[in-house]
Amino acid sequence: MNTRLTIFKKGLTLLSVPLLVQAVFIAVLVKAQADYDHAQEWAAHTKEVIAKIEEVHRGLVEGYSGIRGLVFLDDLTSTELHRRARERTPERIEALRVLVWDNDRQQGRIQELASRSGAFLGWTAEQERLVHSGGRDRALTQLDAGAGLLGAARAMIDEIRHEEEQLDQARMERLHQSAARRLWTLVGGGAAIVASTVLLALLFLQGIVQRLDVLRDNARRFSEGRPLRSPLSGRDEITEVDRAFHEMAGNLNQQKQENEMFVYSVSHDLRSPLVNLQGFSEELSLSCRDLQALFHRQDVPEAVRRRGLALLDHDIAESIRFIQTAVGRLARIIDALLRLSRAGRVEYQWQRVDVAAVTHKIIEALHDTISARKAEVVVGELLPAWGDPTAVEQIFANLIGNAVQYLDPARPGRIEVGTSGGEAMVGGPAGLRVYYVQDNGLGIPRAYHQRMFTAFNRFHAETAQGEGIGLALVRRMVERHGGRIWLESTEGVGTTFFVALPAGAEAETETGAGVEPDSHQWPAPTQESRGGRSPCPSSRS
Amino acid sequence: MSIEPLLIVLAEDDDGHASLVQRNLERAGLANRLHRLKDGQEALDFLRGEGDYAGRNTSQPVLVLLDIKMPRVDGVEVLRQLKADPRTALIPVIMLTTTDDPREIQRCYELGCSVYVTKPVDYQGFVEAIKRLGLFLQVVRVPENGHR
Repeated sequence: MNTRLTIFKKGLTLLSVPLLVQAVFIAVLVKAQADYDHAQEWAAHTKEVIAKIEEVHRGLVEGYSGIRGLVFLDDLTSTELHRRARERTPERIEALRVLVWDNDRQQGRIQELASRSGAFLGWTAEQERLVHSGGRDRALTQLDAGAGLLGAARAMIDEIRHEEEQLDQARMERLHQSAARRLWTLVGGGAAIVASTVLLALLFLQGIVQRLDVLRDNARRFSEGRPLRSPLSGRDEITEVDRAFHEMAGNLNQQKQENEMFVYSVSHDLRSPLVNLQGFSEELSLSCRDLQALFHRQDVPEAVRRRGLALLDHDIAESIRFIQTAVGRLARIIDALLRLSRAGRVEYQWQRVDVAAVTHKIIEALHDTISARKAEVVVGELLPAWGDPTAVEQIFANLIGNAVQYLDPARPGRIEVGTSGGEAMVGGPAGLRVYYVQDNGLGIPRAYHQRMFTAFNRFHAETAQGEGIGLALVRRMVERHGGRIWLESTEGVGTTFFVALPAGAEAETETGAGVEPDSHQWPAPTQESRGGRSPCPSSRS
Repeated sequence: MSIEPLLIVLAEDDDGHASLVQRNLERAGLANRLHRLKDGQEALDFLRGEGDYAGRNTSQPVLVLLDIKMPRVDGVEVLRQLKADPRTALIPVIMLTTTDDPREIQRCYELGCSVYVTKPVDYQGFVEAIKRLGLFLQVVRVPENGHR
C-alpha cells in the first residue's frame, strides 16, 4: 500500500492523521472538562442548599432562645433575636425554595417547613405580646408548646438536610469520577497522538528511506560503471526518478554503443583510401627505381641525368618518405580506433578464468623482454575471476607489459602481480575481486593519473611505441566486466594498477544470470589517485 | 576438353585497389588475363554466364579475387552464392579486403573461401597465394558447361 501512495500523499497522511487524532482528543477533553465543571457546579449547589437550611435552622433556634430570654430574664436585648427570626425566616425559606426548584420532593418538604416555621414564629409573636402585656406567668407556661413547634420545624429541616446530604454525597462521587475521566483522557489521548504519529512515520519512512537507498546505490553504481539494480516497483515520485535514471543510463549506454559503431565504420571506411595511398606510394617508389635505371642509360645527356637523378634521390625520395611515414602513422591510428571500438562490441564468452594461468602465459611470452631488462617478476596468489578469457588476458598482458616497459633503468626492476585483500577491498564494490600489478618503475606524475585511461593520450610520444590506447582498451574491457580500474603511483618509486573483476561463483548473480554487466555501462571515473607525482611514461599501451 | 589459361577475375569497386592488384600481378609475372568487375552482381553474372554475360564460355578455369565491401551484392554474399551453387562451388576464391575483423574472417572461411588477404596488402604473400592457387587450378578439373 505504501508503494501506491505518492510521497506528497504520504506526507499529507503523515500530517493529517495525527492532526485528526488531536482534534478528536481535544473534543473528548473539552467534553470531560465540561462534565467536570457541571459536576462541580452541582456539588457547590448542594453545599449552598445545606448552608441555607442551616441558616433557617439557626434563625429558628435563635428566635426560640430570644423568647426564653425575654420570658425568663425580661432581657430586652434578646427581643432582637426573635424579631429578626420573624423578619428573615420567610425570605430565607423562599430563597431555599428557589434553590431546590427542580426537586419536587424537597419543594413539598419546604412547603411543610414554611407552615411549621410559620406556626412557630406566630407563637413567638404571641409570647412577646403576652410578656409586654404583663402575662409573663402565662408566657412561662407556654414555653413548652413553643419547644414543640420548634421541634416540628426542626424535624422537617433534618429531613431536608438529610436529602441534600445524600445528594451531596452522590454529586461528590460524580465529581471525582469526572476528574478521573479527565485525567485518563489526557493521558490516553496524548499517548494515542504520539503512537499514531510514530507508527505512521515509521511505516512511511521505511518505504521512502529504503527506496531512496536504492536510488543512491544506483547513482553510486552508475558512477562506478557497475550494472544498475532492477527498476523499483510502485508509482510514487521515487519510482519516477528511478525510471528516469534507468532511462538516462540506457540512453547513455546506447549512445556509447552508437559512438563505437560510428568509430568503427568511419575508421573502416578510412582504410580504403589508405590502401590506395600506401599502395601507390609503393608504386611511386618502384617507378622511381625504373626512372633511375632509365637515367643511367648511356644515351641520356649528362646534364639531364644529373638533374633527373638529383630530383629522384632528393626531392621525390623525400616526398615519398614523408607520405609513407604519414600513411604508416595514419594506419596505426585507424588500427587503434578499430581495436578500441571492437573492444566495446565483441561478444564475451562468460566463464571462470584462471587468472594465475593467464598471468604465467603472459610472463612466459614476455620472457625475453623481462630478462633483457634484468627484471624480477613475483606472482602472488591469483584467484580466478569471472569473465571473458580473451579480454582478461588482454587486460593483464597490457598491465604487465606496461610495467616491464616503464621500469627505471637505474635500479633492478621488480614487478609483482597478486590478489589484493582487506584494505583495498574496503569500500570496493561487492562481488568483485581486486587484482594488482605493481612495479618499481618510473612512476606517473599525479597530474596525469586522470588521463592515463584516455585513448591517444601520449606525452612521451618519442619514446613510446603504439598509439596510446592500451589502457583505454583495458578500461573498456574492465568496464564491460562490471569492474573497476584505478592506479596508485609515486614518481620515482613505482606504480600499482588495481583491477576489480567479478569474483566468480559469488558474482554470478550479476554476470552469470544472463545479464551482461555491459548492458549498463557508462564512462566512469575509473581512476583514483593517491600517489605522488612523476614523469610519465608517455603512452602506456 | 582443353586446358585454357587461368582467368583471374577481380571483383573490386575501388579503381585504385584494382589497379594496384593488377600492377602487382603483372610484376609477379602472372601473365594471365585479369578481368575486372565492378561489383558483386556483375561478378555473379560473369561467373554464371548470365545477364550481361549470357553465353559466355564458363568452362575456362577461373580464380576469383573478391572484395568484401561492394555496392549491390557484397563479397561475402557472392562467396556464399558461389559456394551454394554446384556449378561454381569449386572455383577458388581469395577474399581481398580491408576488414581484419576476426569474426568476418571466420565467416568467410566457414563459407569456403580459399585464402583471406587483408589490405593494405603484403603483396609478396598475396602473389604467392595466387600462384599456388593457379598451379592448383591447372591440375584440378573445373566444372564444365554441360554440368548445368
